[in-house]
Amino acid sequence: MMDFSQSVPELVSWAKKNDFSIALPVERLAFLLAIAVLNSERFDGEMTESELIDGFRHVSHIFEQSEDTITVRANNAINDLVRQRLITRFASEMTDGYSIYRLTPLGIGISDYYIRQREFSTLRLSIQLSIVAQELKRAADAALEGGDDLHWHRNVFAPLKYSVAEIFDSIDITQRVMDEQQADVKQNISALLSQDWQAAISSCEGLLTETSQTLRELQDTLAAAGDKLQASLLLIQDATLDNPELDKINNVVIDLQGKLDRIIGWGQKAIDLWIGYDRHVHKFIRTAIDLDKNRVFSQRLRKSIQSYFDSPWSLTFANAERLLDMRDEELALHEAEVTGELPSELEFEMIEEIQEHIVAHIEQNLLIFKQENKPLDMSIAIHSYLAQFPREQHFDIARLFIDQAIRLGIAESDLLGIPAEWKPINDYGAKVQAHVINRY
Amino acid sequence: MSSTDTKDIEMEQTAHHLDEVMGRIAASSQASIDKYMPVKLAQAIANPIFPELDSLLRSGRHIGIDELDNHAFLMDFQFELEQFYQRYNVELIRAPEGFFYLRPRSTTLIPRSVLSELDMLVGKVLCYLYLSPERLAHEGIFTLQELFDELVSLADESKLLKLVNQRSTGSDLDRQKLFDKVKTALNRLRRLGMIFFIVGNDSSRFRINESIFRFGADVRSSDDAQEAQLRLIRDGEAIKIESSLILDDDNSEEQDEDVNEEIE
Repeated sequence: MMDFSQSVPELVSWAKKNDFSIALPVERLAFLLAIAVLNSERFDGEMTESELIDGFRHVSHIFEQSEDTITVRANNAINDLVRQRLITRFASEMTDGYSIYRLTPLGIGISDYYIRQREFSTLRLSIQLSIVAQELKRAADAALEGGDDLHWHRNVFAPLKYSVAEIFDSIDITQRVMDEQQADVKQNISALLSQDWQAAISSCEGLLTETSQTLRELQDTLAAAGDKLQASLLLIQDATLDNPELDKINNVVIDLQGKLDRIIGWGQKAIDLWIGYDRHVHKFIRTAIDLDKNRVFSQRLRKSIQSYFDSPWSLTFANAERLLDMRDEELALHEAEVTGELPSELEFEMIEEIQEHIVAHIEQNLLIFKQENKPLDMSIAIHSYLAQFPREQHFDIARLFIDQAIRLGIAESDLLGIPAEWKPINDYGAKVQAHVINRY
Repeated sequence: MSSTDTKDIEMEQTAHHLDEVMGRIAASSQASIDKYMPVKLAQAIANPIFPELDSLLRSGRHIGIDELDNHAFLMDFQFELEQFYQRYNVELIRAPEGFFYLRPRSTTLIPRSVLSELDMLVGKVLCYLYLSPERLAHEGIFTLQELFDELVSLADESKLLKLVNQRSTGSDLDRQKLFDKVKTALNRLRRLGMIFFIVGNDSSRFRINESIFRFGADVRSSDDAQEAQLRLIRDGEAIKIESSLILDDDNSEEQDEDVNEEIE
């Protein structure tokens, strides 16, 4: 994998700023693949517009789209791919004003994924591994030799960072392809069994052993090469140990070691998982298939579920009374049925309900001001109203009171822009700042 | 359990020897020790595995082949333990699929229970899933939701909802209740050892054990489910559900649930 030097937020905002997006419906993807194949036949890796349209014609033909609109649609498709940075367009005088096209790294990446990586081969892996071993060996030798900064940079750091790391990455990708293949095999096995119970057994076993074999070969190759690679990495690490200026190289080595461990660890894990699956399939064959050779049992079972209520029956089982902890009985006592009804004072009330109740009461008290058009001095009104409540409720009630009062009308002084005076509303020092409301 | 062959033979010999001695003591002694415990049974009971396994069996647990130690122990002492449990009017059964369980007769001294209708249906659906190729897809791991969907599609949904609410109109609330009941049923079958939860007490993902085949017993060997049912009832393996029984069971079930929630 690459080293991601950017942080997540950085990357996210970068993608957002540039409005990156890829959408490839099946026709577009097929077109891209067609371009990739045609492109590989060119020496210069460049394509003209008419070649692209030819490619599109194949796609259009296979998807059974109408011939009439082909130029327009081809144009759209090409523009679409250009916009999504899958191909780049060059227009130059050298080509007499005609555009030429090239696949971008993104386009190559996507088409490669579909075209080249389909086939896994141990040969490819061992070649990759032997190249990487050579590179590492050379780097290790150079490290042992020692030299000036340039020597370290050119002969140790660069090969490690660019060549070795990249091959590791490509091995990693190969392994991910294997992951997919295993999932495919699993799906195949399920499909085979669903179709034909008995006949599927032998083909399932074939699939299973084949995959196990591939996995094991892969792991053997990895294990054999792994030690050598590990040794070279250690050599380089030793050589850089006493020199603080070579930290850079040391970091790369640590990074590579992590990757190598992961690659080898993955191989082992893949085998373990596969063995688990293998065992599971065999057990399934032994239990399910052998017990139900022609799937009659399954069918009957299905029927018996549907008609169960016609004559229900039930299995018996031993059910010795369990010895319960005394605490359990204590807990049971806390349940509502046991403790009976709560006295009304203790019953839970929603805060909203209580507030509504108070609000209604306040409204009643305030109504008189409005009806008689009396000026409402907030502090006097609240003061007399609060007198009937305990101190700890004053704050909440004052708030509700003010909410209600300001709904009644406004104070003329408000419009004058003079700040109101703070006036006391209870005997404990709470104050309110409000003009006398006199316009309803 | 991992004793060598020679040791086994030695043990056998000492056992025989002891039996003889005990027999002579019983014959000659004035005290009336006319029944004595066979040595092999004594060995079984003395085994550290016994107390826990015995409690499991008595609580209705099925012991499958996957439980290596317990199963091996039962295989070794099958005959003796059969005798042992017979005295409680309970049979120690080894099913054709290899799992063990206790089958209480009507005169049993160990209390017995019956499963509810929903338990039975859930069990049957699990048995069906056990046989289906779907079991391969996730290496035999099923989810509660899959079970629920399968149950609803296989059985008559309106009748299922009636189990939750007699006057059910198929509302979402009733469905939710049914889902919860299915979860409870699954939990009970776990306690019986018919399924295993993958992660602790999380009932959302589980694996099915072969003891689930008990639910298929009525259709296992022939098309005639009625006759098979009668046979099962004769054997004391099952009972026929009548309306009064359902009520009883519901009660005991609820108590059972309460208790379990507290324990777990």
